[in-house]
Amino acid sequence: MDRRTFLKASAGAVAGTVLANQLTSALAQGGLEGEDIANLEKGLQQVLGKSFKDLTPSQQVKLVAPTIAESGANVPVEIEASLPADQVKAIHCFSDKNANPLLFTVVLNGVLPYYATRVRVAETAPVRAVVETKDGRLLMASQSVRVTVGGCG
Amino acid sequence: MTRRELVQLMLALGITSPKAFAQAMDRPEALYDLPPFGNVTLLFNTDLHGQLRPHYFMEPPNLLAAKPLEGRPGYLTGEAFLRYYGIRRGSLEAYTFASVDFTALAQRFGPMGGGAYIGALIQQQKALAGEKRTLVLDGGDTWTNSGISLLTRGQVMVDWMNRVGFDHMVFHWEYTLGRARVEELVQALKAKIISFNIVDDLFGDPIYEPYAIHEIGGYTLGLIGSTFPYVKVSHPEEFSEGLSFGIRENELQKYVDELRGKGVDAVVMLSHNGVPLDLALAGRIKGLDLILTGHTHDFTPRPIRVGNTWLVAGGSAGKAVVRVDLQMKKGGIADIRAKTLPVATHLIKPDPGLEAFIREAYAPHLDYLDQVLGTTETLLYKRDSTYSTLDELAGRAVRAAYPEVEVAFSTGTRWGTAILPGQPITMDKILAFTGFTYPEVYVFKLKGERLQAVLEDVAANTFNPDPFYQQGGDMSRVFGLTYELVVNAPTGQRIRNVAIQGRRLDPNREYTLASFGGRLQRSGTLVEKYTPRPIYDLIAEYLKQVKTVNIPPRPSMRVLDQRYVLPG
Amino acid sequence: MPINILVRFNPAKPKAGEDVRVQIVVQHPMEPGTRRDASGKLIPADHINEVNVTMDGQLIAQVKPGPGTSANPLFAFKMKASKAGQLKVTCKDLNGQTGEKTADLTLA
Repeated sequence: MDRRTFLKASAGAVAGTVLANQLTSALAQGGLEGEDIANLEKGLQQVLGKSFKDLTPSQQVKLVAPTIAESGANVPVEIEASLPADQVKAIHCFSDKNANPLLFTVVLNGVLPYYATRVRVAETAPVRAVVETKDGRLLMASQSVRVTVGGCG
Repeated sequence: MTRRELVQLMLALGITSPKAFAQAMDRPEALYDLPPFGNVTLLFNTDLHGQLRPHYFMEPPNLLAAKPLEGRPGYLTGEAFLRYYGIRRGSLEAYTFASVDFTALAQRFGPMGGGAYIGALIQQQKALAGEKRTLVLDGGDTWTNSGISLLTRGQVMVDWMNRVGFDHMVFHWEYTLGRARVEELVQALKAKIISFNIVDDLFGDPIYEPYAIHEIGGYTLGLIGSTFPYVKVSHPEEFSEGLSFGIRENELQKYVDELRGKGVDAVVMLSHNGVPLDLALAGRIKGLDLILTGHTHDFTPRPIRVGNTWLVAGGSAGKAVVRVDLQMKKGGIADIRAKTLPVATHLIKPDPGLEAFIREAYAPHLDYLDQVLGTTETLLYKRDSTYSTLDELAGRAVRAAYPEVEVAFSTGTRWGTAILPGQPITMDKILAFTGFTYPEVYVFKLKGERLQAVLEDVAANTFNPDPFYQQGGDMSRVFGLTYELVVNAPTGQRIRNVAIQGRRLDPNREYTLASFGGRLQRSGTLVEKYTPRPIYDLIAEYLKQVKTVNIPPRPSMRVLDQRYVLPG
Repeated sequence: MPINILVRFNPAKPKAGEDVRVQIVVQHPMEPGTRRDASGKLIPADHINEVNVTMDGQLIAQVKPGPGTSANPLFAFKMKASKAGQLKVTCKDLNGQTGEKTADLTLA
């Protein structure tokens, strides 16, 4: 991007500096911070009898979680699926590095495909929302949550 | 100021018409005579950190950033800043906004800021723009971190704000006074707190009004407040019990939509998110017209535009008041003029009422605050990405008090002051960079591998290429430890070749460390024979002992993938 | 002592057909069983392991929280407010303590 792009401003106004609004998209990184698939597999086997490769990353699952947790002991997560309510069986949630990676399972029956709660995340790792459909699909959204020792303001 | 410097200053401020120029030559204070513009005026001051007296403050010589962010506002400093904004070396603006030639310019232009000067400038600009069309806004980090603010537990700052006449405010360090004290002071404050992201931690209800609506000159302005998202991460949790903060992007969008639904013409966010995060948010939130931001202490002599959103930052330490004039139109902002006005004490006549108020506030504390502890032969400064001479002073003082401490940490906080070569060091100056409500120095043991992990964690917070993963603050400072830093390395690989007192770090050995103003000590095991004492007392003792300090900048790290500049 | 449960509808009185968010907060320490006290002793696990939510007697959601759920947990759902009715939340923890709360959903 041209960092010396000036706005043609009308008389009296000070020219401004224009920045592209794809700031964050330019920051595409490699894998998620703290990823630990081997540990995650334990939880997946335990609850679903499935493995990580059986999960399909999907735009239909929306996971809202903080990028940096206020406290690892209290991380708000909100999960919503853009699917008809009667197609969704359950919502599962995992964190890669927890000793027990399963955070919760909720079975929905007649409510909208939405669930919000607060979870414990042991250390910086991805949180995974897994939406289980009635026809057996496992749709996933992931986001890394930083749990920091805290430094300074 | 010489004639040549004055000409340069006027050019830098865009005063080029012959008439304005002639005027400026006669009266350098003419830089504050802004001609009328638009129909709404916002006056913005932020991150004062309790500095009611004029003082020196040097901008960071270095703001290290990951490649995608390098050279952008939020990471501009020194000569790069001057080039980016077209500011001349040696001008008042260069002195205010950058670290270049700092000591020489400090001697030429004198101290900056101070409550009586800031107040006078705000009053003057309010009168010039028109009282009825003007809102005065505080971006937070105002009530703590100086001697006088701590001695009065924030009271003097609230009294000052009430006298100056602020309309709205958001928070960050205010919460280190404790939630109960904050709520007591809010009762006394005439300005109205707005913050959508201070919520009760059970149901998530906002504690304060998320926004305010103002009718000005036939237009309606919606003003959303955003408090610092990481109050709980950055400070002991007990200060904000029962509360939750956070970026809360979806809720922000909801409130913007709500205001738009009410038919406001423009939505302005008063924010303590800082420049990098707010630039990122500006690209994602729909319907925000303007963001006034604090926290990262950046100056933006020209407003920045991201999509349809303008952003203006307010600097820190009382060095500037930002005046934003808006030419409104139905449903938005047609045009904007934003001027960052230096609070130059040699040009502004202080407000006599505020001057008297501040004098009286200090009177009972002069023996304590103005005691001379020692003298410095070299420039003492605070702000930088990784290292400063004031932190080196703190490290020397901790080592003097606890000789067995192998590594002393000092905080990466952005606030502080500067002490010029030859100047006396008073308690007030020490408190200006160590004025914590939790100042205790902890001595603790930590295994080498943990120590390395802690450094990596802080580096990941500071140098993450994604602003959503930056907690804010500069890198923790280390005394007794050296390392190599690779800013652009992946998380976990930024810190290399750590050595402690010249010897390579042993991951299996336990080291004796000291820290203050953070939570680092919780990672280790406290050495119980010591009762934690405030860092400012340790520094005062050390200075009384050595009398004169000489601390040339000798950074504890080597940056492998970026240029690192020493001030001077 | 029974476990205390708080329930809120948002909006408090939805219009017929509108989405309503049900916020359930349970006052419980949710000890995960991995934390240690000041003397280094392991604090035994004590957390809610089942929450059932019914509407007019019909089970609409069931949560199985584990040690990964925070203290004073929030359980929030969304539903279509098609008719007025009674929401009932019951829960139990590892020690066999139980809690129950009903809340009437009324339409605007």
